[in-house]
Amino acid sequence: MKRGGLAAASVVSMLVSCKPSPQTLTVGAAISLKESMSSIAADYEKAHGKHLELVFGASGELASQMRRGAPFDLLCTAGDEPLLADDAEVRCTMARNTLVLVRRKGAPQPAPSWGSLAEAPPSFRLAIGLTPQVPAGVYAEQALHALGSWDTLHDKLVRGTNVRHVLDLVARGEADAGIVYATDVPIRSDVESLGEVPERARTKVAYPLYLARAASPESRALADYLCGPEAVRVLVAHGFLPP
Amino acid sequence: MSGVELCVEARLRAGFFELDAAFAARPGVTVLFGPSASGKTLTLRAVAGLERVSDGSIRRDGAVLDAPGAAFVAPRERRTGYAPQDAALWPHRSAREHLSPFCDAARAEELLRVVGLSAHAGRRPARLSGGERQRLALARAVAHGPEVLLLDEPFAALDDAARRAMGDLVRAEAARGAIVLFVTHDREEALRLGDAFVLYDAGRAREGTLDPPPPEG
Amino acid sequence: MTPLSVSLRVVALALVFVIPIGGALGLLLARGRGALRSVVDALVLIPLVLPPSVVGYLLLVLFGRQGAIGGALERALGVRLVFSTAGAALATASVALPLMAKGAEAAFARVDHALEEVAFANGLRPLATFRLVTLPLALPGLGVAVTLAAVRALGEFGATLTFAGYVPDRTGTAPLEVYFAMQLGDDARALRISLVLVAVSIVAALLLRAWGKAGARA
Repeated sequence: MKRGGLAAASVVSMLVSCKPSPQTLTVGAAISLKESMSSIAADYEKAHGKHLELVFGASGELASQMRRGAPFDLLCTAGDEPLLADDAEVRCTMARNTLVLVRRKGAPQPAPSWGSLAEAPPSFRLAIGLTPQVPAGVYAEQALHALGSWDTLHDKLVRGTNVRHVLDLVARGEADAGIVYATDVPIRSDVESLGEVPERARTKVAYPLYLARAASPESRALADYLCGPEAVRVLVAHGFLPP
Repeated sequence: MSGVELCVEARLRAGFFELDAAFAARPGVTVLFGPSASGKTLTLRAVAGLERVSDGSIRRDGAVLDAPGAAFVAPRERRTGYAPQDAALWPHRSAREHLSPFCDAARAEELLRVVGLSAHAGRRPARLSGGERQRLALARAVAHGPEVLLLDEPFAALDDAARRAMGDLVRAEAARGAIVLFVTHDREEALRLGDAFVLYDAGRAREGTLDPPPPEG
Repeated sequence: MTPLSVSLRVVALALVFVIPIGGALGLLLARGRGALRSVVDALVLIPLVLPPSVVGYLLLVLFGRQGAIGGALERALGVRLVFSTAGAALATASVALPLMAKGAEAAFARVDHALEEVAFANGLRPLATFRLVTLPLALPGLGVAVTLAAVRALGEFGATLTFAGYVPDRTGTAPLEVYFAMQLGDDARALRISLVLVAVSIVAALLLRAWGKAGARA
C-alpha cells in the first residue's frame, strides 16, 4: 500500500513538473523563420538567462491553436492573422520577404520562368502552400493573379501543408516548380531559384509579431528585443529584408 | 478384377509411435484388426496419402504411390474413398450436398436411400444422430466409385440392423472390384465381413488368420 | 465531391487489391511452413508496426517520382501517384493489408484440417476443396478481416497525407478533411464529417458482431 502511494506521488510530481516554469517563454513562429529565430533565441537565452520554447508551423495553424488557448506568449507569423484580434496585438513588423520561383536542381531544360508559367503543359505541376492557412500560399495566389496566369495554372497547382513542405515537394520532383520565400532557397542544396517574382506582381510579405494580450513583463521584454536592431541584424543575415 | 493389388511394405511414424507394416490387399474386404492405438488409422491415412512413409513403399499394381526419394502421388490421384473414424462431415453442407460433388443427383438419391437417409437428405450434420453421420460418411466414401475404399471403424455407432445393412453395402463395393480396407476391433464383425486379415500387434502389421471367438457357455 | 465520396472511392479502390491479396497471403500464412512463410509474415507486419507517417515516407521513397518503382511507373505508363486518388489508395491499402492478411490467416487456420483431408482423400482437387469446404467455413472470419481492413482504410490519415498529399477532390478523404477543417477553425464542418465517421463505425461494429456470431455457429 505504502509503496503504491509513493509511486503514485512520483508520477504526479513528474507530470506537474512538465509544465513550463515561469522562466520559460513559448514563442510560435512561421516555419520560414526556423533558422533565424533559433539563432535569435539562442542569443537571447545566453544574454538574459531565460528559456525560450520555440514552436514552428504554418502561420494559420499556429494562429488557430493560439485562438483555442495554446499558451503562446508571442507569435511571429508570415502575414496578418485577423483570427488573433481578440487574443493578441501586433507589436511591430519583424521583417519582410519576397517570393521566388524554384525547381529541383538538375531538372531537364528548358527551365520554367515566371513569364512562361501561363503556357505550361497540362502535366505541369506547380507547388504552393495551402490556402488560407499558409501565408506563402496566399501570397503566391496573389502573385499569380497579378501576372494573369491564374486561369491556366490553377488546376495544375499542388499544395504543401507549410512552405517547407512546398520546398520538399519541389526537391523530390513531385512538383515541377514551386513558389517559396527567397529565404527558403539556401536551406536545401537540391533546389535552385528561378528568380524573384516580377515587380508588377510583387506583394508585401511582412512578418508581424503578435504579443498575447495577457502578456507578462518578461514577454513584453522579449517582444521589444525581437522588434529591435539585434534581431533585425540576424534576420537580414538569413536573407530577410528589414522591416 | 485380378491383377489389382495394393502392396504396403513400409515403416510409418506418428510422433514416437512407429509401425512396421507388410501386407498386400486385393479386391474384396481386407480387415485391419487389432487393439486401439496400434496403427490401423495411421495405415489408412498413409494409403490415402495423408501421411508419408518414413521407409519402404506403398504400391498399387506395381506403381509407387509413396516411397522416400520417389515422386509422391497426391491423395486426389489415388482413387481412394475415405470414411474417417469421426466421420469428418462438413458442417455447412446438407446430407445431399455431401454427395453432390462426387456423383450425379440420381446416384446421390439412390445412395441416400441405401444408407437410410432419404428422409434427412436436406439436413446438416448438426441435426443428424451419431449413427446417421456415420452412414453419411460411408455414402460419401463410396459415391465416386473408388478403387480403394478406406473405412475406419465405420459402424461403431450403428445398431445391429444398421450394421447388417451397411455391411451389405460394403460387400457390394468389394464385389464391384474395390479393395476395401476395413478397420475394426470387433472380432465378430471382422469375421463376418472379412475376406482377408491384417493383424496389428506391438507395432507390427502382418497378414494372418483370425480365430473365431470361443463359443459361449 | 464531398469528403465522404472521396473516402469511398479511395477505400473501394484500396479494398479491390487488399481483399484478394490479403486473403491469399492469409491462406499462405495459415497453410504454409518454412522460410517463405516466415518472410511473408515479417513483411506483412511491417506496415502494422510502423507509424503511418513513416509508412507514407517509405512509400514516397519507393513510389515517388524519384523512387525506383514510381520512376519506372511514370516512364512506362505516365502514372504519377503523388497527389492522385490512386496514390491515396496505395497508402490506404498499405496500412489495411496487414489486417486483412492476419485476419484471413486466423479465419483459414480455424478451418479443421481434417475436413479438408477427407475431401482430398475422396478425390476432390485442391481448388474444389477450397471452394466447397475451406472458403465457406472461413467466411465468417474473412468477414471480420474485411470489416477490420475497411474501417482501418476509412480512418487512414498519416500515410495518405505524407505520401499522396492533400488535394481536396482527389486525396481529401474524410479524416484529412476533418484535420484541415479544424486547422482553419471550421468546427462545424469538422464536426459534421466526424459524426458521419462515427455512424460508419457503429455500422462496422454491428457487422463485426454479426460475423462473430455466424462464426461461432459454424
